[in-house]
Amino acid sequence: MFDDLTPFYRDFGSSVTVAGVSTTGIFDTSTPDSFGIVASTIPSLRVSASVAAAVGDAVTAGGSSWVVAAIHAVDPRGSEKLLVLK
Amino acid sequence: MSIRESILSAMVVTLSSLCGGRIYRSRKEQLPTLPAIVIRPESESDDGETLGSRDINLIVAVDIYARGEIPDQAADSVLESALSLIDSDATLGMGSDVQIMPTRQIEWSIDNYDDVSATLRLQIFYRKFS
Repeated sequence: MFDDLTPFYRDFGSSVTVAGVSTTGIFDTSTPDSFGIVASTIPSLRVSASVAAAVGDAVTAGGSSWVVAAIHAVDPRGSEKLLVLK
Repeated sequence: MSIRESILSAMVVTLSSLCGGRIYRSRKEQLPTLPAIVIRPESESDDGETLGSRDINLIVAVDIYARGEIPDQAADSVLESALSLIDSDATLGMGSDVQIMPTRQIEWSIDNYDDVSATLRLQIFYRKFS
């Protein structure tokens, strides 16, 4: 567990916008095939818990526009959250 | 080729005008492009041979895969077209010993937010002579 996440966001993060607000996030994609057969890409954005976000908010990250589909806490302390995008 | 396999092949031909021709038999390899249809046998039963013939019930699953903001809606036009094509010839062009029964079942499932699988189950009766 790290108390200061600033170095991680500095090294791995990029400029993104969440609900129209610019911030820094760590963008990633996973490729879980729907039903085990349909090619699919699920992008996600890891941001500080202080970033205001709700399901349905617009996100710009990785050079594309997305919509928040789900929000998960990354760690029990609640210092970060993971925005699952579609 | 078995009558069963002929029925499944005839089903592929019947639906071949849909989904840009992306109609597959029992496929498990990844589908890169949607919509697409996978046709597979699900089960088969009969009550044994009587008077030199065997009456067989084959359950065929037609899986329609699509993607959209309202996933089940994304599969709707393909589903309706498939039903229309199936209704146009209940024998699948195989004569009076093959009959798609009026009973049908449709089941929708959603995955990864926008992807839908609409599974149309058909009961197909066929007669096999000894």
